[in-house]
Amino acid sequence: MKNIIILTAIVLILGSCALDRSNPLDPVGNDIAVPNEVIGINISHISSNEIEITWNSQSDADGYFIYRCLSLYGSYVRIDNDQLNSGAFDSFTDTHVITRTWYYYKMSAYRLVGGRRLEGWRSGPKTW
Amino acid sequence: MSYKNILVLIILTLIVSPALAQKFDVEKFSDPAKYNWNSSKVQLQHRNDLQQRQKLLQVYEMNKFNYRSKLIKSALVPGWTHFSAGKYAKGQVILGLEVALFVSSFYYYDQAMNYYDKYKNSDYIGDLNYYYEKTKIPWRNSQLFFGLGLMVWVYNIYDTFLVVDEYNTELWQKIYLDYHNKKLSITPSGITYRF
Repeated sequence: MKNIIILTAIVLILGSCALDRSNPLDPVGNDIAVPNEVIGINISHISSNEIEITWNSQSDADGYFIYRCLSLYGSYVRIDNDQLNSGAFDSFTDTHVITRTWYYYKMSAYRLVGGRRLEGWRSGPKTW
Repeated sequence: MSYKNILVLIILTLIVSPALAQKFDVEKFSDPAKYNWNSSKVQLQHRNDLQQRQKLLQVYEMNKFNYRSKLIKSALVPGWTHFSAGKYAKGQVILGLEVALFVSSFYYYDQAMNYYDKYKNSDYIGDLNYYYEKTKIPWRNSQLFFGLGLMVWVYNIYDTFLVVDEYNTELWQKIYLDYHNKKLSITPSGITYRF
């Protein structure tokens, strides 16, 4: 009986062992502040093949990600955002659009941590 | 105490000790009746019996289970000793449980590591939390099944001791009984038939 209790204790201890949060971007245990969700997003169709996106710039961000999709709940694809690598930016013009097509956008801010980009919470889908 | 006194004491002891010692009874020592050997025929019978017992012991030594080898085998393949000893049901249960528990443990471990790799490669805060949470349950299951497998394995080792002990005891009894139940035995000293 004593042996069974000891072995049960071993099983419970093993079962309670959690995995390390070893991702260096993980805010838990790494003292990293996650960038806030981007707010004030406004989308306007400025010409037949140009869509402008504006937002409130964030001081805690090192850049932004913009995602685009043809349907509201579809798979959003990130737009190449080399021109968005600063937290000071507050607008972006999407020129790779097809005329008379409806687009949905999502946005997020990122912060550079050890050469990698920690992406904050994405916004909900927006359109014009 | 001076050296002179010690010397006197030693000499006295040497003189007195033969007188105090019991006389060695060589007749009693060599008396065959001491072992109930009243005749040379009986003595021969006892001699034959002793030789037979030595033969039985050799048979036993050849067929008995060796603790070390059985433990190693059972450690590598749980239930091996149980199968060897003819305890098939117990061997099947132990082996089946071990396979089921360790395969389940590996299955959940693989699932957990799949999510954990995704967690480690995540850059998005949503994915980081999602994949870490998804890792938890299979990881816990993996640990649980591994722990249970370990428990069964430890029990298997413990039971191997008991099985080897039981097998060896039964083997000796069987050899001994087989010998004594044998009606006809041919020995160098003659043929014996028991009714």
